[in-house]
Amino acid sequence: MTTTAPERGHAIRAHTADEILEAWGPTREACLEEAVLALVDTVAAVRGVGWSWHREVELAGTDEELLVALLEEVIYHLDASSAVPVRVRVRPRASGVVAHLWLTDLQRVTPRGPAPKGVSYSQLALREESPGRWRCAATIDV
Amino acid sequence: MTPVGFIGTRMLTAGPLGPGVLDRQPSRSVHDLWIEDKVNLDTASRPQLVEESPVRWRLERRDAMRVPGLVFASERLLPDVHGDRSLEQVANVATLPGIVGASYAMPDVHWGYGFPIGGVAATEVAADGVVSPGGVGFDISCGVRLLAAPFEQRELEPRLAALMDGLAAVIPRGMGGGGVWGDVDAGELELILTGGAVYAVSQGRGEPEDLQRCEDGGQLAGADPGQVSERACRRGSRQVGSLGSGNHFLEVQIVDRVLDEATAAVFGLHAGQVCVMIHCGSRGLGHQVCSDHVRTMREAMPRYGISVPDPQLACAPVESPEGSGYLGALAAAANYARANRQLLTEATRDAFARVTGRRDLRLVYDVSHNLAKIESHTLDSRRVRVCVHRKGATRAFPAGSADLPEDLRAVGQPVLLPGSMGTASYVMVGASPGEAFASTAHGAGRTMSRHEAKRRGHGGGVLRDELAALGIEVRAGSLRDLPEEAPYAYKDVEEVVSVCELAGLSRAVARMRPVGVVKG
Repeated sequence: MTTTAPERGHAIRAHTADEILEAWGPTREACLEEAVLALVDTVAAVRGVGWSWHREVELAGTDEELLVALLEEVIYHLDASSAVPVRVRVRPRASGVVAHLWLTDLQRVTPRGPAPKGVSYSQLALREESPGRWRCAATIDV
Repeated sequence: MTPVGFIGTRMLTAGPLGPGVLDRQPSRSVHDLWIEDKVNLDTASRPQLVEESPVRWRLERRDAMRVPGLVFASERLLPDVHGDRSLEQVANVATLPGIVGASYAMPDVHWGYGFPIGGVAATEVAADGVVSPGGVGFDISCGVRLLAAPFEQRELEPRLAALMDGLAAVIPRGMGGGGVWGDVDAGELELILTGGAVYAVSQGRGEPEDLQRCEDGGQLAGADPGQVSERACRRGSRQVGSLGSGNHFLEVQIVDRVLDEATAAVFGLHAGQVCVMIHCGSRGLGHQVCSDHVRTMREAMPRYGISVPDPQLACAPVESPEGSGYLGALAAAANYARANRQLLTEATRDAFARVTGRRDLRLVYDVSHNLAKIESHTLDSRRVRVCVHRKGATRAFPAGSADLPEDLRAVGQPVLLPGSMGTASYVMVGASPGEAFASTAHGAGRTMSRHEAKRRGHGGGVLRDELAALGIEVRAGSLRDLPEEAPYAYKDVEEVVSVCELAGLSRAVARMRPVGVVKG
């Protein structure tokens, strides 16, 4: 996968009780966007579904803290507003990133899989493997 | 072949099955994960496992371990060294500051994050012992309660399908918001966080007798809603009285076999009786409390000179602002969980009343299996105050414990041990003298990822029909996801129960057989 993978993408790996997300992309922000899409993939089929409202959130911290904070933002919206992102854009900021989430009501999508509870710091990673190749992984409690 | 550890005098190998290698279902190897190259896979550093008895295995102290590990398991239940890293997690937990006794693994132990699921660790408060949110998990005070109906299976049988339809209609479940109490405001949420099941009963949702059969009387002391973030409150405000998803369930069960007549009589159980088992926790509120306080402790650890081998073991001394802050938030989330189960109990009673004309289902017991509590235990002939973390492990106080209500003190604390969907569950009782700080297993324990479970199955419809053929009515929110909880994804609950008994953790009182399942 490391030599033939497309420029950006994501995958879900097996874990006995949880889900492990992996994502990759040419920039840190693309990698973060793919991580969001991976998490969304575990909870709903959103392809072709339009968005209803938009949220913008500024996140600061180390690369790995940004990954946790962004995934937690998605989990928060699932519980607090029964909403799931159908589109995501992440852009760099001096101290971190700004994330744009375009959300829709869970009732408009086909839910799947158990609801995510939180993001574990175990086996958490976000790093540039080689110039222009970012990769991340996160374990999600479900 | 690469040596990965010893069992007694036998060496386990990482290659194909060979002499002395445990024969069990292969699971997906963790070694194909990209992330593996980031963590320590030095096989020489893996803990060594020594057989003390057929159900008790010791992980010898080494490196930073402050105490040994102690694994209660038969050979068949021992974690699969090819795909399950829970033994390494047992060793990691043994490094926590202030840990006493051992780092324990229950018979249903499996790979978690930070702590293994099925892990127990006690830290001595007076010795700068720590509390770790990772030792509780995201679903704070997730637990099980059992209700006993005043009638038997033959009376229910003609109305079972109608009852299951009725339960499916009134039990909120699945992803997102939606609970028995709808959207509660900030004031009422604070009352839930401080009052737990006591508050729910005070609002007419339950009987005062219910509280007698709840751990902590249904209300964990020391709750501090001020330590629960606004985000946590927002996640939980629309979920009060809901099952959630994943392995959470409501089951209608029959007492299939009574194994200890005298204790069953004290618990109010007899053969053929209809019961209801409810498994759920503190929903998004508890999950957010865990996330918030892990972050706080990660930042605080350097100030206390603490380092941990796994970041999810982030911790702080019990008697520190961060430690007491977490314990206050944990108690609040635990109270949310107890109110949650109380409201689902009342919804269940309402459904029974509509279909059977009887709503007098009596609470047998309500007990958590994800919690950290300050308890007093005897250790090396001295009484110590310890913070007992039970993550996927159930408190199991033996007979005579002063913490039990009077009617249970003579026999011990009821332990509720659910099997996987469609298989038996057990009612057990805490055994003397109270091994592992009076703890026992919490269920069958997963052996297979959800993806693998889906891949091996033939779809939710087939599984539902197979269960129906066994006389089990399933009402699932998502048929597509039903195979994730199929029995083949779990350990054999009969063996888990057997090991609990042989290891002296708990004794079986009654075997329960499901006839109806409500799932998210």
